[in-house]
Amino acid sequence: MQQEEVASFQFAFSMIGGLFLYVLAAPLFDPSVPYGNWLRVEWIPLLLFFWGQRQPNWPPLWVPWLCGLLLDVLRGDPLGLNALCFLGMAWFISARFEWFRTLSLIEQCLALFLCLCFYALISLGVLLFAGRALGDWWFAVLPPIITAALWPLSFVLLVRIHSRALNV
Amino acid sequence: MLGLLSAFLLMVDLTSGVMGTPRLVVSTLVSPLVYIAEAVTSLDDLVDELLLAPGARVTERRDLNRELVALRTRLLELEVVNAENERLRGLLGGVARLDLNMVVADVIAFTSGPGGSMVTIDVGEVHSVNLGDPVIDGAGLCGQVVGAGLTSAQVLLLTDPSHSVPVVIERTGVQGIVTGTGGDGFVELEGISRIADVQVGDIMVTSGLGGRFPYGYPVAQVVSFVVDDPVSGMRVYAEPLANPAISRHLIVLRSQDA
Repeated sequence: MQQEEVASFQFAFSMIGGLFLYVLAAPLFDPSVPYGNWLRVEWIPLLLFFWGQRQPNWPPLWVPWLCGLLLDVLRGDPLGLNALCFLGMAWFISARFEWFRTLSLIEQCLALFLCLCFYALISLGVLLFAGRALGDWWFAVLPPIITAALWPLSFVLLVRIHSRALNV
Repeated sequence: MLGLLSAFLLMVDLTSGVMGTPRLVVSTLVSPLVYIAEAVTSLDDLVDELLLAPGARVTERRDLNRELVALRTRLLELEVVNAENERLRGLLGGVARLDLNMVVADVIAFTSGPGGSMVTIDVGEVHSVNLGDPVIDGAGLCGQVVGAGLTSAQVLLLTDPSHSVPVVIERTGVQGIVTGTGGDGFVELEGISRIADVQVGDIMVTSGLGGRFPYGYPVAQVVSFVVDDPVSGMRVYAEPLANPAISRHLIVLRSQDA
């Protein structure tokens, strides 16, 4: 198997894994706790952040799009919201991958945090437009903080898995 | 191209209500993933059970048997009360309680977030679950089915601001509409007069008005109220009695036979 094919397979598999982790952790989000819904890791954006830098020739874009669509249904968000955000994020990171690669790990945490804040802002804007009540919207900053904090560990693990698969 | 398609889907979903079917199709696509996650969670429970000491299992079984006997006795009492209730309803000329059948469901995901407070359950159209079916747990009303896929369904919780249910205060018979308040996990009773008799601790049950929710299921308990609100009369805040996060097993009251 070619290296690019391996990478594409890994990419698709990891995205499904990200979605699976969301579903697995979903019952832990206790809706009776005011901020319970926000104590989550944004696995798919985190993986997009990794793959966008790692693969200059971006693997098929329909994978993050489809994952976004599935997440729309899982979260009960308007159909196309996460799909559009993930597509935009994938495009942006792959277009600027050289710049992202020059950043240190801590700077990458901050960059990921900003990307996720932008994603949260778009999501909240669309939901507000849809007339949804956003009672505890200020907790929306929790997933970016949690996800960005997990980035260094995730990065090291993903690099190790990726390199091992490619025998680099 | 995909971006345009996403934007189109988003606009259609936001401006019209025609995305129900595509949402169900996508929901069916994602259901295998949900089932695998559920199986993994069950494995965890199985390991926990296997690691339990035999003595603990025996004690647990004895407690469960004791509880079963108590519940059977209670059921017998309820059957007598139910028969008496039907007879009294007949005498008063009232409408008999709807004869609903039910299906037990497991909560497989809390799909709540900024988009709304919902849970996903593992029963769907193949189990004759339909839109609007009430969902309860051991303590009271949880919400209603707002999306039914083939093998899964989405339940809008009481605490969601878009959810309303007609209720009656059990103690006084005061009627009103309970609406969710959003992320704080409480509900608000609307449409009652400023001089209505309400006390902290009062239990609200479904009033049966509108025919969607059958009469008599506990909904929420009053925790506070403000009498001097000039706009809405009295504002009553209550805490839902049901908690799907704890019970994890829900009952769908089906309006159609399986």
